[in-house]
Amino acid sequence: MIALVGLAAIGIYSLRASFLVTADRFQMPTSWKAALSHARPAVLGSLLMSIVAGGGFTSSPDITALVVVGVAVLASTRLDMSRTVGVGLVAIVVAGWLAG
Amino acid sequence: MRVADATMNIDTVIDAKLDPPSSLRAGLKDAKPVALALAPIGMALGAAVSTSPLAGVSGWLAGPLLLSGAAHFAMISTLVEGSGATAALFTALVLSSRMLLYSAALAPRFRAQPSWFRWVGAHLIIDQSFVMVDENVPLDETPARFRRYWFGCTLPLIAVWVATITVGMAIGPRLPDGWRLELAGAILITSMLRTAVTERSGRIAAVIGGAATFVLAGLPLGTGLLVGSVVGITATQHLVRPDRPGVAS
Repeated sequence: MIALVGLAAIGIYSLRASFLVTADRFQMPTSWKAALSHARPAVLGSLLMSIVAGGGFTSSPDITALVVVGVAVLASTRLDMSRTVGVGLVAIVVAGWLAG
Repeated sequence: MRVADATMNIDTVIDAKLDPPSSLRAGLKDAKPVALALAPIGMALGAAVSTSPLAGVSGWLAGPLLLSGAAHFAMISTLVEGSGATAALFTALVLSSRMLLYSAALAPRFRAQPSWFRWVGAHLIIDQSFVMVDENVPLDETPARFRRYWFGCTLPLIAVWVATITVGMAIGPRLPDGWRLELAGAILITSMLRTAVTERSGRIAAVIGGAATFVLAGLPLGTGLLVGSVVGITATQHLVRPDRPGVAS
């Protein structure tokens, strides 16, 4: 199992370092730069929906996840990040209490 | 010493003199709410590790070595299902392939950095550090200030991550079944999305990326996440043109 973790660590590090180690020599095409400026919202939207849809994290369909995300979305429209996280964590505790 | 290296060193000295550790403090400040949300995820992960084939030193080591909750969870799930070590490794790597996107997007910020930081800093790329830097650090930030912000926002998160995994592994079996601590990830992402969708292009990218991932959630090995992200980026690039009035790209 140690070997498995080691290989996974090397593989994931390689993915992370792929463009950074040669960043001083690598000239990124302009079209890439423009496209990658959309990476943050696209990846965040994808991560969120992968949790809701159950892509590797939870069982699907997941009503509890939808309710917790709904509460967090509502909170984020009015509150800053710290408070949104706080409200969301309370929602998880309440959902856990109702479920359990 | 090459001229470029000498210039870089002079820049570093000037940055260090002109810039008190405010960029470090800014990183620490931005990391606070993220750390708060990461703690329950680390606990949930630790609890899952404690009852899996990865229980023990190897499961704990995966925390600081992988720095990826999704890959860690996926490896455990694959092993629990009995699919074997090769499948677990492949699943973790495919699920982490979005790191390629982060690496490419962060490359311009690492171009002027010294070699040691490009090697060391690469390990600290996680979803949250990418988002914090992309959101809070201007592209023309000086190398020294960027490094301080990078360490300020990532090292506390890693400390919290490793500590809560450890606690989760210790008390995991005693956590109530109904507590869905892993959903803290969804809350964190939701709170980060708020500032990512202030512009029209951001909203389009988030909606298309999210919708594509939702539709493709059934793809094997979690590839729907990467494919959905790429669809969101590519579609937004085609739909949003910088020359259109009122559209920020």
